[in-house]
Amino acid sequence: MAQLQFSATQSLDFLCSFGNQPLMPDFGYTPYYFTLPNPSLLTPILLKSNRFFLEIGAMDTLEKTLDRIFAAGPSFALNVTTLSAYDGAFSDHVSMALEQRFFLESTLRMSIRTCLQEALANAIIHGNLALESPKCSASSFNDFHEAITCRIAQDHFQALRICIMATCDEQYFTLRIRDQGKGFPHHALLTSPTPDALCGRGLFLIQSLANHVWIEADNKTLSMRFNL
Amino acid sequence: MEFTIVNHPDVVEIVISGQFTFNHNQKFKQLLPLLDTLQVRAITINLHGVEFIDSSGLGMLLLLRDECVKRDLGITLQQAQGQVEKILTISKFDQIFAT
Repeated sequence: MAQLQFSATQSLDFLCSFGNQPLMPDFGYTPYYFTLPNPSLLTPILLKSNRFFLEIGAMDTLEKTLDRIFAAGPSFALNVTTLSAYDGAFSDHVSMALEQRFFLESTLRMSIRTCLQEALANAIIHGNLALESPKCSASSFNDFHEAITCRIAQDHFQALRICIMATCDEQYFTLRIRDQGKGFPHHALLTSPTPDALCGRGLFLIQSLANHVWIEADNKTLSMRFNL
Repeated sequence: MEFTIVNHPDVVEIVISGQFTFNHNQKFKQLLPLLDTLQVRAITINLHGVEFIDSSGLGMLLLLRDECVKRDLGITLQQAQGQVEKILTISKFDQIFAT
């Protein structure tokens, strides 16, 4: 195996697994590596001073793991599988950690948690599970949720990645969610649902709560900025 | 998400608690058959115990409303608080539901 050199800015400090995972690869040094029985134990881990937290997925190989390490930028990043992000309380654990890690006021936490939840739902359902919004009828709504249940049970979809990135300065807290889907549709941020629409109001809620929302040039990253 | 049914003389109160998000659709669907068993003309959805709702939860409430309309049942939302109250306000649910 080739020896890999990591610069200080690229150092991986935590490898975090949510289940029984393969042995950690040999990086030439020993980052922290541990197994969380369930994602509810994630919050205190994310409060550590480390930048990058990577879940090792059930279908990951050494090459995939290394690619994700090199893809980590200088800001806080949490890279998880779709299956882990689908956990009902995942957005709560992460938003709680973000609030504490970045010393955010609790009044902002509600907005951040809601935006994170909506952005994650979009990333999971429309991004990685590749499901389009249902036509707004009761039967389509039920079929849509059946399709979610069906796809999230499949290994291929479970293993797809979602990356949550955050930066904070004196003026703004910025949250970015990136998935591995085919990208946002044109004019995604311009649609506005009627009050009685059964679906399609996720981005509307995000735009109502965040101060600025945009889609990055890769068309797969939703960015949300909050004034501090 | 959990729910309990409280029977009052003229109205059935459905008390919902926990989180109300896209993961909870299976649980929510258990509510719908109950509508055919009611002997009253109106139901109240008590949201006091709901700590968090997302856009899918809003859609489920609207679906419940549509099913009530089909059965000529009145429906009101009550006691939303915190994040839930704010999201219902942003989504203009006061134009759709009585409170």
